[in-house]
Amino acid sequence: MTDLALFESLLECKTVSDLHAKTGAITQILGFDHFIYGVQANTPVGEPYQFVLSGYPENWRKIYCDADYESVDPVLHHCIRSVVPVLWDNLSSLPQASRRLMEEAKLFGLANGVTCPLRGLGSEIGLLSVAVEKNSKIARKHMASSQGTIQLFANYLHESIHRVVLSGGSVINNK
Amino acid sequence: MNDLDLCESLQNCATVGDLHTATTGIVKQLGFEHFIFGVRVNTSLSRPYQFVFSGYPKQWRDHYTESDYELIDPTVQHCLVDRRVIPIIWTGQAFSSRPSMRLLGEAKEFGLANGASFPVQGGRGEAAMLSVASSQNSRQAKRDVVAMMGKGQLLACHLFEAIQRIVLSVGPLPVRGVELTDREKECLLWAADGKTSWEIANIVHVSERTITFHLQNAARKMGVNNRQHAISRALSMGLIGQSPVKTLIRYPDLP
Repeated sequence: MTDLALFESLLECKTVSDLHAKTGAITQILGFDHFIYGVQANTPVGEPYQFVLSGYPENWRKIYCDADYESVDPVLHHCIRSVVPVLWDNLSSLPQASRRLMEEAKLFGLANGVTCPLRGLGSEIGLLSVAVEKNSKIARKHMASSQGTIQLFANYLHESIHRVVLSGGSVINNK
Repeated sequence: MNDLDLCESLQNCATVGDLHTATTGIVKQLGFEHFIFGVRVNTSLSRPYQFVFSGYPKQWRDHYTESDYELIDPTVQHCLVDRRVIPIIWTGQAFSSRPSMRLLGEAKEFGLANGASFPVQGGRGEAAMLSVASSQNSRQAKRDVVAMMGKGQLLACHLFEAIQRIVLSVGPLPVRGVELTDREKECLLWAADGKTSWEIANIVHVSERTITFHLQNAARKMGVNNRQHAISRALSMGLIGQSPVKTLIRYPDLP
């Protein structure tokens, strides 16, 4: 099965749990251990929507949310500024709080990873991160060489999420 | 060649000419002969601005433009009009309508037989697309297209960044330059919801004159001179609705 056929299979998903399972499976096939997808938009008229599909370790997610880490999360900052994927290794000159966040994440099995920014209509902004539990030279090389594939994966997931979750005027504001 | 090195040369380009040379090289490495990159910016709803960066045969471009083919081109529809985020391969299925079949047939005569188009949506009302094309139309050539889709999408994202940096952020377009204050955005959002200055003043607890002041400032920054135009430009460029970093994504857990 080609990567493209794999990603196209996401478009067949009908429910959020289908999407979650398939995204997790593709993440593994691509050689990664964990994923997280998030999207938010402030709609010009009406309520903003937010949606997250998390395949991250739950205890890390809890710490992250409780500690309000998104304000110092360097991958979020990258995704606001840029539309190209970033290797976590290449996030440079980070403030101390952001460096601490990335170090802490390593303790929860997010040793290294790649984050792909996503855009949609208007102010919609999102991301897909995939992470490995064990960092190594081979893992780093693999991440560098698969950025395009992961960005493509991100785009297909984004499209699929729109079809299943965000379409039909349903507003997701699931904090 | 890994993906990181593939697009690195684009980051060092200082001019459109440099960018053209670098892109031509990368496209060749991907196995294609031709490329075209276009970006549309909705500075105005009625007359969007368009920048085209072409590595297509000039004769075909001229013919395409004169014939207004972008109106029937399914790749333009997919990437710039429908603003999709997934790429589109030039298959018979994609070019199934009669006019688009003719379009693809003519393109073949100019060496554009086989290819794919990759959308990139910007955060401020920009929609962009990269198309890469080859004259090879064998089954193997079609498999090669499928195999390079990730790299093509990556190239599209990097080209978008490069064009932003070299062209859009320095030209006459207010794409990057406009930064509205939180108050200005708030006033515009309420105005977009149909509120009068008096009503907005009551909502945010400041004087009506202050609201007018904020709306005028916002209009001036965007280079427009009335309230309706300010609202439509702010919407089309995605300037209103940009949330502060802190509340970007809240990561709720799945139900």
